[in-house]
Amino acid sequence: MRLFTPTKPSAKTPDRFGPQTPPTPLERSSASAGPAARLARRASGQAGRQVFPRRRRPLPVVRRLVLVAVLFAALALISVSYRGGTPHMMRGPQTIVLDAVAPIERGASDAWRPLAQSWSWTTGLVHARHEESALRTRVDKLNGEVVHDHVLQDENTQLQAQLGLQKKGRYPDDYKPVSGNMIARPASQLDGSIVTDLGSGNGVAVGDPVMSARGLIGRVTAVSSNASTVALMIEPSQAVSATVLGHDASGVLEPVKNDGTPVMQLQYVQQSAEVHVGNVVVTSGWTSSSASGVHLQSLYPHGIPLGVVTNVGNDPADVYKNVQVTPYADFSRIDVVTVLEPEGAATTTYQQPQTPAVGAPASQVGVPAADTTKTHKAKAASHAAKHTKAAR
Amino acid sequence: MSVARRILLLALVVVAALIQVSILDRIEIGPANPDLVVLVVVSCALLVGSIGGTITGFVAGICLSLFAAVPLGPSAFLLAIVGYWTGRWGEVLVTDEHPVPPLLAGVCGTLIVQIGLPIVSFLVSPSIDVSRDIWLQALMTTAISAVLALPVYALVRRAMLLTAGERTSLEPAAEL
Repeated sequence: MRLFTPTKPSAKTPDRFGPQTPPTPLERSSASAGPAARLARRASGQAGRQVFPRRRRPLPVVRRLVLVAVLFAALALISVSYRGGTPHMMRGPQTIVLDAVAPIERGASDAWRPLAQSWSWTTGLVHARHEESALRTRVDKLNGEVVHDHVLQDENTQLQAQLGLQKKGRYPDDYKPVSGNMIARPASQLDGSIVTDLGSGNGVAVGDPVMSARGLIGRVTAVSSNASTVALMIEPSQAVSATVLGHDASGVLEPVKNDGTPVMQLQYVQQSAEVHVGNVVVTSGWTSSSASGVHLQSLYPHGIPLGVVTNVGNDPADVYKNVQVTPYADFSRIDVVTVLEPEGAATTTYQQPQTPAVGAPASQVGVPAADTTKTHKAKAASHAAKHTKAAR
Repeated sequence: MSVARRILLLALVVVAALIQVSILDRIEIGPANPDLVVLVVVSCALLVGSIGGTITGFVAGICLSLFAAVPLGPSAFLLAIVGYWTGRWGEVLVTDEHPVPPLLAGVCGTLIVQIGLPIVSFLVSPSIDVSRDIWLQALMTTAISAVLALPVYALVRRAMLLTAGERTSLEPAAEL
């Protein structure tokens, strides 16, 4: 079957509409569609091939003008979206559209979830056999640890009762967990963000930490009334101040690879700090006070699980220790998310990222790129008012 | 192009973008996901020509960015180019029933978008990590597109033929 028309139109073809080029397939098929035309073609042995009428076509200059205009518009959007070298959302239009389509995305997501879980279950079977023996060994080891933990838990309960402390829950104090679903994620792995069905109507605000069942996954970067965008912590622009549980080692956790199985690096850990493979890394939740009386604290509260240390490099030539961390959260299979809403924090301000001085200790590294801070002046004022009222 | 056909084109790309961000981006086949939007754009462009293809690609890119809450621009830029060149190719075809053009257009379009998107993103924001696995993802997505190209083209063509009764820009059918 011949696929292409000749590059030059036939000299016998009447040129009633100015410069002519062959019609598009749809316009040809729309003129020859229908059972009668199809039967006629089949009868004449032309099945799959169509005879089409000529039509008025745009001039090449019009075609090129449209292309240039569209590409110019796209480039303008790129320059607006990436001003300053970092990607931004166009707050107004994108928020409005996101609000409008969020219910549709949520419906599609809910409808698809059972099938997605079936697919996930089926693909998981492939790896199940390999994991079984390793898990059996681990279960035996953990059984012993559980007994030990029960003993420690009893002891801890008694000590807390003696000290008058409240027992901490799964989530940090002063934070209210709100759970929702992921309703969309970008096609490209270059965009380390997801969209959830939690919006300002649920009390979500920009900067709130977001967790999955396993640990921290990121923070809220944009909010509309019934949806929010979450920047995942595996995005190169994100960083979290972190500490190694049980050891005096802290630093800034940053992604070093973003390919679906991310590895992160705990930066600025002193060579003298003791870190071992298998250690648990959690958010450090630092606080600081300035001379002006403004109290700053990390956006992420202390104690949110981040990941486990999988490699420790001890090259004495390096200023800092090379600590690789594998996140607990499975970023390729995020479904249910929990946003931690701070209770009582009236205002939120963001501090510009600071570049740490070479050789500075981890505790003086400053504010990580995405570990934004909030002022608690208003909170302190409200507490003072409460105390005053109580005193009265 | 008639108003009905324009509305149909818009509906096609909006629905494709919604399905893409809500459902298809969660289906992982190896390191890749099916890319329905590119296939819909090349199918439309093959059928309606270069101008329609350019605008369809641009609108599809905008929809994709809006629904996934990512920066506008890169997807629209690449899909507009893909729509234009696919449309130009469609203009020189004598048939829309042969399987080779939509198959080749789907594969080439997906490859252009999958390779072009990291390049454009890296050029405008060098902090973005363009690792080797992105190229593997591009190849896998292209392979998936090769499988899906013909069914998607058939569906789009069937939908577009709903508006085939309007011949505002065509000469009378009697001239057949």
